[in-house]
Amino acid sequence: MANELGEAVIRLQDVRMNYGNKFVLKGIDLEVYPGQIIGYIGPNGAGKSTTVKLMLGLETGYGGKIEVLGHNLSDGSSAYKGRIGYVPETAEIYDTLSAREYLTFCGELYGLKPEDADYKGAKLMRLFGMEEVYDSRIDSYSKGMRQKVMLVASLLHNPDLLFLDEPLSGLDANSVMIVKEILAQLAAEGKTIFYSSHIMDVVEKISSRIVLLHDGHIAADGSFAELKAQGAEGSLEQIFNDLTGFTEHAEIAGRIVQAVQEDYS
Amino acid sequence: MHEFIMKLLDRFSGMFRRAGIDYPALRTIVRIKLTMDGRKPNGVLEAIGKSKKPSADKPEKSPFAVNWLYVLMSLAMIPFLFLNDSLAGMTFVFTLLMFFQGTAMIADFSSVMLDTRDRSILRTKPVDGRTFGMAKTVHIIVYLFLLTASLVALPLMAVFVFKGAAAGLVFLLEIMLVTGLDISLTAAVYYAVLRLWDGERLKDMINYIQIALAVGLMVGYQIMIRIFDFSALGAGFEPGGWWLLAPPVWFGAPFGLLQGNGGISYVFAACALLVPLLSVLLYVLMLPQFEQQVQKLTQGGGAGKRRSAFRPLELIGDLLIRNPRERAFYRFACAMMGKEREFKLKVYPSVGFSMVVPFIFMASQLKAGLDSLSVVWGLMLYGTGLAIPTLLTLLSFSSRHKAAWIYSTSPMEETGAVHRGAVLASLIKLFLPVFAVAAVVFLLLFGKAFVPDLIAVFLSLLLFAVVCYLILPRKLPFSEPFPAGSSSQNGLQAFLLFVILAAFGGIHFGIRAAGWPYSVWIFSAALIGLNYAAWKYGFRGRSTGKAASAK
Repeated sequence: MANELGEAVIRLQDVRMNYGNKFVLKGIDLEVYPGQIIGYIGPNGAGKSTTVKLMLGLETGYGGKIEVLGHNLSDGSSAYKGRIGYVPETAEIYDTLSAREYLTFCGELYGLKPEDADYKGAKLMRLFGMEEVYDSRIDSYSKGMRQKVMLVASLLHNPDLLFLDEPLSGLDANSVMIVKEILAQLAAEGKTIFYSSHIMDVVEKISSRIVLLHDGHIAADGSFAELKAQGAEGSLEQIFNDLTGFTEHAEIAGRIVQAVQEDYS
Repeated sequence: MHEFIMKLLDRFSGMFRRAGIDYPALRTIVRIKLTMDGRKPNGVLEAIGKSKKPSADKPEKSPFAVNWLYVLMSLAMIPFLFLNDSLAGMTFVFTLLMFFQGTAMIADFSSVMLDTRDRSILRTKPVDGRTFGMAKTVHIIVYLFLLTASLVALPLMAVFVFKGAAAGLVFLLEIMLVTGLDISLTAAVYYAVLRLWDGERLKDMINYIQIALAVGLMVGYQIMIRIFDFSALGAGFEPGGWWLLAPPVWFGAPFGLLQGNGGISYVFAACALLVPLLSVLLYVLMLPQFEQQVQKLTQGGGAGKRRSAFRPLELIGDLLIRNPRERAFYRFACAMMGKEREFKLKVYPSVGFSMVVPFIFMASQLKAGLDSLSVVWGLMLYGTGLAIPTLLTLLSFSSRHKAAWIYSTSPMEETGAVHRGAVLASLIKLFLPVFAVAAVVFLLLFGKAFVPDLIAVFLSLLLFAVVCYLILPRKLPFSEPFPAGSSSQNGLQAFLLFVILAAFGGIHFGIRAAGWPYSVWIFSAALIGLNYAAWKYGFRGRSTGKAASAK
């Protein structure tokens, strides 16, 4: 299926990573093509954010080969990051700045002129319904408002590849619909979206391809329909539980309820 | 100031470009960093209650308002410049300079040097590692330049004017060297702490240094102007070989040379030149490892300390309090006061300051000599009571004040128990240690004869605490945000409480003066009765409805 989709945007070949004795990634092979929305899922500690950090050059010292946007990461240059947008999981942001200052700053780092970055930032914030707080400090924002600033910051420079880590967290239902639609339309324009989340319902609905990481390996890879066809059944949540070998949820819940009801008097 | 620095930086743009640095990106990063510096509340200023919270929406505020404080601090160095013995004088000057610079750096470094957000915000942009590193370095240099410039501007002028150009130039060179040494030492302290422990411990340490700096400023200033006799200093200061361990002496030595000293001063002067250069070199070489350790700051604490089995504070609480809900609040208040960094930064310095209040009152007496000191002066111990209104006022503040919803959602019939538990906790955990230290010094000064008075003072202050509670506005503990600036206390109330405290002292004084046998003991017995009644009934009659509307 590779050739009909053009050049790979991301190409990982036998990528391995360890922190001391802890092996986080044990050989990842993955090719991602333009227009795909990848739902990157896995249990906590499976290595999802490590994979993303490696591709962004935030971590080094990996084994294997990583190519992003046709650029081999081992040469250490960082120009390729100009075509990437990133929303980290923990909303790390310089929150003493106003949204105007922060967005202008981000735009400038991507090589936009300050006026242009400001203009575009203001326009996007207005579309997100946040024009009134554009000049207020980000530390006065609610969680959802911060998340919108993060999203705008990742989109300012019209990137070809988006890394999103729980991008919907804190957003209200209406904003969630807007963001989902944005992702779908961007993908239709040929942008690639690499999306990690723990909310299986969302991943199931928006991803054109689902990659499940478990214990440092890719445990499943394909569209939701393909995963179902491989013999797994039910919702993505059930498939997730099956593939990560987690079956005792009912038992654990039972023990917790029991402990809650213990009477010490 | 901002614009000036950016213009100055532009002068060097060619140099940066030749070195392969992406200058526009560097400029953007440095500018935004300086903007953020201007908005962060200053730890030290905040502790002594002078800082106004940087307002949210004002576009630009001078980022350098804090530096006036440093200019003021630098005045402490001036008198030492005029000691006859240059070596001794300049050694004192450099001791102060290193102290100010070092503490300021440790207190501010976390935001200047160790911003862990940099990684995910800046390194994900198309900015190469060299530009990023250089931007960080430039930011640190600008920060240090502004800090040091305000610290040394006046002393430097004084040296040029009164000691001549040669001494001035030596001083200037040495300031640069000392700054280099201070950076490397600060980085070494951070590195060691991060290596051995984790980021949480480092944040605690930074917190304690900020507190120490604030106390040092308040106490040092009071003591200096009252007790210190500058003219006697430095006479017969003869450095021996073991002074080699004290860096300020190295920097004092060249001035001794200018005055005609010789011998070992050459060794010191060589140290002043070589050690800073070597330490900066080492710092540059270790920088990558340092950066790696800095990542620990994001990881938060490890396993956390296990609580030790012996907890004297809780034992006191369990002994005094029977109501289980009140005990819970007592323990909760103890934990909050010990753990919340902003609370400690605000409260500890003023409470610590009250420890020296009695000695400030007695300063003239102490100078006159200990022999003439009569036991009556022991009543100055009432001065420590000034901490109590401050303490009770600050008790209602927290940086996590929103968590106070827990009071409204938990089933509570009346809030008296909450208040009494928290007030008692604040007295035992924060006031008692301070009082104990002052009391021990007083016992040493006045001897056994002071014991009855000490007991009476202590009991009076306990009663005074209940009076304070009744007069001050009753807000639930830890339920309000810290107010900006020093507006936390109502001036009229503060004055009223001061008068009441003085009245307590006056009654005590009158009873002593009356001269009946055992009068002080009888006074104490009466106080015990009053305390019992006050603590039992003083906290009654607060309904939950009132508490809910207060929030």
